[in-house]
Amino acid sequence: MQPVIHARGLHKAYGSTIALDRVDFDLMPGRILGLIGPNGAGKTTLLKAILGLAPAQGELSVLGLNPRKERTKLLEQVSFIADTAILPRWLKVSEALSYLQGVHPRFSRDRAETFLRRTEIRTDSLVRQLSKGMLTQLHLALVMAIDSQLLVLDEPTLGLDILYRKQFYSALLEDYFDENKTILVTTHQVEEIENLLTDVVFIKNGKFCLNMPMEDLHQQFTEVRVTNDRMIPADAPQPIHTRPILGGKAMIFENADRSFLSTLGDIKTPNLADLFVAKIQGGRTDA
Amino acid sequence: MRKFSTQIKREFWECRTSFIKAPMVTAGILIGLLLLGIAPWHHRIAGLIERQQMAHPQVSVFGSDVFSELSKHQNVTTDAGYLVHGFAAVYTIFALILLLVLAFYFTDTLYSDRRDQSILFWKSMPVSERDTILGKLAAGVVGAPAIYAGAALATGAAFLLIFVVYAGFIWNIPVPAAGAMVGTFFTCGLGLVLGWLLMAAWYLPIFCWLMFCSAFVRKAPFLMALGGPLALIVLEKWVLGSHHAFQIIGSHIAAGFYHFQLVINNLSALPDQLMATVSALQFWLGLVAAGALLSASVWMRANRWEI
Repeated sequence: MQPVIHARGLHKAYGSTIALDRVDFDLMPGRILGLIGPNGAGKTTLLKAILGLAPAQGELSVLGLNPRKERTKLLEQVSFIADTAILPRWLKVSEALSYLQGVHPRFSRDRAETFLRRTEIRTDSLVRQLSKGMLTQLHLALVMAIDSQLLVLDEPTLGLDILYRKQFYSALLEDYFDENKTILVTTHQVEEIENLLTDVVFIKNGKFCLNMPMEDLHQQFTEVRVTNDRMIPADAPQPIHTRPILGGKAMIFENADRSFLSTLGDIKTPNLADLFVAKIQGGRTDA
Repeated sequence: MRKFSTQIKREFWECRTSFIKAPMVTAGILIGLLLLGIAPWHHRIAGLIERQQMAHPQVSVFGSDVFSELSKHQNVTTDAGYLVHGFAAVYTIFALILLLVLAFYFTDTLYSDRRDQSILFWKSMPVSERDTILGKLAAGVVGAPAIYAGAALATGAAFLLIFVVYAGFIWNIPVPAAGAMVGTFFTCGLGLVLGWLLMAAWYLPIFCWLMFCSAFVRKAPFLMALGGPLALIVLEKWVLGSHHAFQIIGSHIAAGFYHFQLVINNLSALPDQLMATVSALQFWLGLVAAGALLSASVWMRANRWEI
């Protein structure tokens, strides 16, 4: 099976700042990848390269196409919603539908109208009259009505309240995603997409510091909750991160023997947010 | 093709006010002004008749008598050819407003979506930069002018109707033959369309320059659009002491408007104006410049939006 995104040695520098540091990366079809990193880690640069919006050095193909040279063709198969969500304010909802119908060969107006009927958005409204939540609903309805192979979401739920955020992701899963589609999403709200992802990438300073399927996480990472009265043997492996919890501390170990760790305290697979902090902050320990 | 027409529609949605409402409002105002303008005339004619009746109380003054009375004091005629200048004046007003609208449109069109960041939405659509920019050019050079021409012709037709009703029915003054009037109206309408196309061809480098500025700048495209040529003129004067840049720009603008005026005032001048245009080296150089600026705008749009 051909990967949807194939990158080798992808590199981009803005002056002396390195935004992408020779990244190698494959994304297979039917996956939902979370790209998670602190601000300025290179997420948006990577997405721009994938969408052909900005050049980058190295080898990159998306659906077998060169994003810079074949951007128009690529965008028939790739949809995206950018963080700063950006539908033009003077556009009417009905005009947005007509526009996509006119320029996008894979857009279904019926489907978009079906999605819109579930919301409170009226087709004669102007974009500027919609609330932020409705705007995201509208954009999502437009994008979900496109039968594309890759959907790129850059902080799609930024600034939305929790109801809209939940609704956004459940609509995406129930009405859009199937084994022929691939989704690449970046977000700061890690907890909300944790159960949605099949794969996760942590990016820091332009480098991937974690890149694996979600189901492999529990083999590689273990969180142990150690109570304060428990002594840690001297020969115990070093945790990659320790944080205080009520009555003790939580330690995250990488590639450590689970049966040994279970003698120290309760073990579980760390959640993504804690793992993110552990990997991004490195060996530093929270005081 | 459907993609391209959708691109043009998109421009009309964005510029509803200046492309659609403005010509309609202009038509309304001009028709209103004409109706207002009749009042002093009416007063004058009534006064004239009164004086006649006082001098010769036994003769009733009406119809062609009014006309012959008027002829003594004013240049009046039943030659339909004179209507042309009325139409041309009206059409010139529309053309000037349209040129102003287009100057703002082209200066803003590749900048406004960068300013409000909706460029990311347009860029998420499978439309090439080239088609985007050609769509904008077509909307400005052909699309909006079609609406303006429609409004101008409607205004011309309304003027003609008001004239006939007022002169012919209210005062029973002889008017030109119906066929001649309608013929003049259509000839003049054709002159408007062809004259506009000729002028637009002359102005293409200006339109493309404005569009290039709107794709190029980080902020305030009109500063570059106006300031660029101005700086060039001042610099040339200062360094070389000559004023070629001013001459070239000025004569280009004048040429476009001159050809337009001649054609709308006299359609039979078209072949000569066409010949004068295609035999002018400056015209072709302008088109080459327009093509270069257009390609540069496409390149800017694709590569320089990260700013």
